[in-house]
Amino acid sequence: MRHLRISPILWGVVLFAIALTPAASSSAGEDVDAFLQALYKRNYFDTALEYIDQLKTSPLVDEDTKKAIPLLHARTEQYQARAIPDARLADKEAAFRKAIASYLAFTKSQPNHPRAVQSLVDVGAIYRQMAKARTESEGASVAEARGFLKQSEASYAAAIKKLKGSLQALIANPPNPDQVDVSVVRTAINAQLVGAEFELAEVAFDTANTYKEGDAERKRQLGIAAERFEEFFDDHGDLVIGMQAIVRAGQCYRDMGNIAFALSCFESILDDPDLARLKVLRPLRLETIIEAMVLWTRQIKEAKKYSKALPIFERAFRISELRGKKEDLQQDPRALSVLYQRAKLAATMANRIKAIRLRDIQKRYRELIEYATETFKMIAETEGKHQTDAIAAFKKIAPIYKEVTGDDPGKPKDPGPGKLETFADILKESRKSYQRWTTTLGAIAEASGAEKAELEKKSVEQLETIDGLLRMALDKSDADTSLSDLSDVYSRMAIVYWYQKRYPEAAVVGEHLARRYPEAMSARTSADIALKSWNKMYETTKQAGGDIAFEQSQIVALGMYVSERWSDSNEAADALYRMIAFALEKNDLDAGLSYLARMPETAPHYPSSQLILGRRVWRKHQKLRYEYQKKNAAFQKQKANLDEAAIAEAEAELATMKAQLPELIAKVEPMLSQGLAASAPNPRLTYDALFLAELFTLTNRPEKAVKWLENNSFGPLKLLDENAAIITQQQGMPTSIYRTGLQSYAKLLAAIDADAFPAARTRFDDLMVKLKASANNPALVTSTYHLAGKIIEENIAKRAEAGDEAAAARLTEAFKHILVEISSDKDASHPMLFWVARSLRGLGAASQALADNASLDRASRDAHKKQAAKSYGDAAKAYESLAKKARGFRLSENQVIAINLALAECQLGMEEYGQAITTIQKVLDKKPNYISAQLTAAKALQLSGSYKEAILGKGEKKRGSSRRPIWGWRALASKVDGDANYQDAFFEASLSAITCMTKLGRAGDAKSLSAAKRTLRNFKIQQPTLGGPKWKPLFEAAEADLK
Amino acid sequence: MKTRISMTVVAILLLSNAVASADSVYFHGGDPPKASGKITDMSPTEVSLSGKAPFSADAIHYIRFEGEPKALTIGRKYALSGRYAKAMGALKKVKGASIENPSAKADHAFYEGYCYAHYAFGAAASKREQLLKSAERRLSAFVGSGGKNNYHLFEARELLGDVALAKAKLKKDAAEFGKARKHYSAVSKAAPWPAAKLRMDMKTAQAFQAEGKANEAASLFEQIAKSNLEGPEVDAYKGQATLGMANAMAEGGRAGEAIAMVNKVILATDPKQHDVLAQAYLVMGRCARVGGKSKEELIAYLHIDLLYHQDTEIHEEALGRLAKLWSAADQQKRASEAELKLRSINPQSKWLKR
Repeated sequence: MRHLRISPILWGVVLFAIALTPAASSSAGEDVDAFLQALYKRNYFDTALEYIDQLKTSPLVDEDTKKAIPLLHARTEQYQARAIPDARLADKEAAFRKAIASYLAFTKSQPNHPRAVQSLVDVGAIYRQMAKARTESEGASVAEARGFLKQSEASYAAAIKKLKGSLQALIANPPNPDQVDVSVVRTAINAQLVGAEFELAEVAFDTANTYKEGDAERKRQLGIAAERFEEFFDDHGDLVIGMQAIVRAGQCYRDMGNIAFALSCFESILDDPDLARLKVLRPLRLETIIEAMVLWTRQIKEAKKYSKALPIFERAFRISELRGKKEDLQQDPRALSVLYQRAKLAATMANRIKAIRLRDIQKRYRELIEYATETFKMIAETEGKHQTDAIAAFKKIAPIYKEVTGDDPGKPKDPGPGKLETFADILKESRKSYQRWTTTLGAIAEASGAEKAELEKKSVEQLETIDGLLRMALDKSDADTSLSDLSDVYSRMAIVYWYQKRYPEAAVVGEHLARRYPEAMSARTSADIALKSWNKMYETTKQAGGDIAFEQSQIVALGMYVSERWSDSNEAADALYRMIAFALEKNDLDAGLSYLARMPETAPHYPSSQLILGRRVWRKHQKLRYEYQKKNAAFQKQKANLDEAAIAEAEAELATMKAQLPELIAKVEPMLSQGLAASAPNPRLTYDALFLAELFTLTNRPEKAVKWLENNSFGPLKLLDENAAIITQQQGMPTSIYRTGLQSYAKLLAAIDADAFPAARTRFDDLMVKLKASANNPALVTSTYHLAGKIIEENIAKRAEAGDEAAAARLTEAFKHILVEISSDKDASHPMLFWVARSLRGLGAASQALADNASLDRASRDAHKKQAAKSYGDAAKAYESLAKKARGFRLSENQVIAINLALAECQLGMEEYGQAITTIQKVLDKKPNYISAQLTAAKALQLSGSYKEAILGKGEKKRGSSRRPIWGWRALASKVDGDANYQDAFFEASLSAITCMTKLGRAGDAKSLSAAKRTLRNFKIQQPTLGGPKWKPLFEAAEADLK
Repeated sequence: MKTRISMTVVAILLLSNAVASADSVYFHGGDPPKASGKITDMSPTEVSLSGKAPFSADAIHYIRFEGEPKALTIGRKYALSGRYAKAMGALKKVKGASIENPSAKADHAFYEGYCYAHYAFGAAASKREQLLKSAERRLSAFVGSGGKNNYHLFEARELLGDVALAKAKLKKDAAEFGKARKHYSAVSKAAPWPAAKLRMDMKTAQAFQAEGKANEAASLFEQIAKSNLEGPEVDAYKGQATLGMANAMAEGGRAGEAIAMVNKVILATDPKQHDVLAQAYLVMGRCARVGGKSKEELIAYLHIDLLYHQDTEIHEEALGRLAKLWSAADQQKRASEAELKLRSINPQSKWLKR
């Protein structure tokens, strides 16, 4: 066997210039080749063929490209055929035949095209591929494969013949060097020739491999192949392909059993230190090492003595040493093969020296065992060709390792699924991995501590594996892939991404499945994952203070889709629930309500959605009500100054606002009522109960209001009684609840019967006390009392009008209690105190009227009288308080006068006449001509029994004045006589003067008696109507009394 | 011999030190590669170095200022090589107040706006609006203060136009469209370079087109296509203008004539000009659609998806159309792939809704 001597200068790498040159020109217009390559990459061969057809008429490509269209067509068909799985052998062969026909049609139609000969080479290659597919397919005919190889050989031979002919022609008739660069043409032809010759030798090698080992024909074919490769090497040993040929020749000799010849071929590459340095030759060198290692291992095994084996081992180990990082070596399948062979070599050598008890040899033995064990383990953990063998080898060597080192080498990590090629295989494997992961997930739920951490780590790794498999499956899917399988892949991807916390991916894939394949079983679940993922992103963005509009709109859009597509599903309900939250976040109440309308009433989130929205609608109502009241008050104040148009406009606006209020109530009531009724009792519902109670109070349904306020589980008043933190920790909340409670109870008092009244009244009083204790703002307390008082006041009148005196009386008691509470409040405002005083005075007058009612029995009348005195007394206190604070309240002089006048009247009611006169004199000091004050003053004198002064007045007349400071009835009557504004005052004064004279007459003053008679007589002449129905009976009574 | 080598090294070191301690002006295309010295004057149109004739601002690629912070040098380098996120990180480290040279300070301000703008153009739809606002704020500040006499002024205004246009497209906001045109017009009026004027016309026309003002756009496109100016940059604008015209013609039903125009542009365009080619195939696809040629339409959009997908907006349209076309051709898997890709690029793409 000859040894190689290759000149380093010739180690140029010759590219197959023409073969690698794009068939289509890319200089003009469209980049046809780049586009076709991209289409091939995606397996869009059908589209590529259509595109090629379009090129025929395309103005975007030049004529050369158009001429190459049949070739492009053939090439595309070839690639298309190659992509068909071997399992579909018939389809694959048919497609290959089509490509061959296209290539041949091209060479026939354009025999002089520069790529015509290359087409023959391509045809040869296709036949080789067909033979390979046949050989590798189970049950396929080997004879057919040989037939294909013969045709391949014929094609290559034809190409070689033509190429050689072209070369000869070029030498014989060189073209004009000015037009064509001969060297370029010759190089191109040579390159094609070299390729074809190499392939021809390969065909012989392939043919040999179609025969079984030991078959004579196999040996003969291997001999032919070896000879062709060696010849090729002789001719082209300075090229990389030439060196490949000598390795091939070595393989042929190896298969023929001629180890020495084979190793000689391999070593011609491996022994050259210059070649070892060339990076470009590294792949070839690695392949050669692998081939040689197998043979060296065999030689070591077969060596009779270890001393013979040792130099072979040393040499092999030295030559096969690889440099580089472990990770890089693991990624290069050739490097991994070399490592595997080295481990085998080491194990074999170790076995040979095991029995030799020399210290150095035993040390070496241990080193070899360690190396082999570690290397097998590493390969066993790496996906690849030797993985299975390495696992087996590791199992075998591990006990030896333990014996030698005393350590446990452990177990290789999960080797993974191995090589998977078809979509179905990958999907199957991914489902298995998925199943394993779900088991891990279940175990995590039950584990804790370190075990849990370990399982979580495992889960992460498993998810990565599944992710890889699913993506691989997608890559392998084609038009034949069923939609259910495809949607299964997408669905698992969404789940994996979700658990990997890759939310953007989970959202996109989940949404894609939901929208693209809504009929798929997992579409709904995927939509849910997408929604949750968008939600996660929303929360992250929100937490970071970023713009959440995008995430929100995604959730809403997908949520709408889900709710429309699967309207009755829990997923739809979940989506709508989330959308409601977003709508409220954006204050879009209408949108929120529309989402609620879409939600099935049976959905678990329905009650809580009702409550969330109910709260908002109620707040809207309260706000609108407040605005309405404010606007209305302002309008009423300004109305007089507005023109007609402005009034109409304002009234229309107010009417619109007012009309909305009951509409809102109609919306809220069912939402809160149903929401509360359907929710599991929980203190958190207390606010909803409060709102509902407010609503019922406002709409005069106090029983219902109180029912929710006093609910045992979440009633706000109940929780307040229990001092529940959910309320007490909210500043201002207790006060707010007591306010609502008081109003509710105020209305309830008016609505219930006598039996229920005492308990309600007790609760009402209790709430008044609690409100006062809870509130920081006394004014708020007073205003609440005021409100409650107003409610009761209104109902007293109603009950009284309805003739239910008993109810009116019960309410009056409560009313008085409120009034007294307010009047005792130092922070009460002056309008409130006015109201209190006025109300108490009114109550006093009412009691007095009853006390004066002759139809009642004595005891009742006395009791009423007592009540009247008490009410007047309370009223007087309120007026006195007002009078004292007049300056603080910045009251006007007229207001102070009115207070004193009212106070005087109360004092009269209390029968404190002297006090009343003193009070009224203060008024008259300021306003001597104040008719009402003069009336009260005269009345006070009359009631105190000073009849004469009552008639004639009291006090010293001032200079120039005809009247005393207190005019008395006579002067008063004279003063207002004829004044239409004081008609009542006139009749009262006239009548009272007669009454006083009568009283004096009764006391023995005859003059006064006759004066009374005379006065009455004259009065009747002057005022024949006697003041009409109001006064006439009184005059007639006075006349009867006189008689 | 050894002594001589050492002397040479020392001389080189001295020289390099001398260069580093001066302002350096680098030019587009590297011809001349750069000029160094003290900048004596700067305006939006010219930059003067001591003892040298002024350089036209449009010829300048960038300027490295004497004593500028290292982070500015790095940030600028990243920015000009399109690594905007990294550039923003580097520029953030620069404390603007610490730069004494007002031109360097303005440079820093400009590149911050520049990075935000470009980063926004390529950002996911979800974050684009926010980034555009940030870019606008920075660029407006630059234009309104430190950049008034800076050689970046026109570029900044042009970018402001681009930002406004991007915002306008996001929200279909007429005011933003108007703002974009205003910026382009300002540059067109003030910049003394014909190519820049043409570019501004081009952008204005594209803004009209995006706004749906087809007549205004077509008229401007025609004007650009007929321009007497010459040169590689100008030719590219003419090509784009021709595409704009073709698009208008296709929409007007004259698909045949339009395709002929598109073909001419493709034939005349440098294969490296992916943006023009993407636009060309988009118009070609539209023409094919108008002409009812679904196979041709599909091939045109595939060109964008496979070869010219840098422009997100164009890519989105191509993917959206492809999904429909594949569906119609009963290629559900391919339709699904196109749709998924579109969804990944922009989950809110209008092409998903069509």
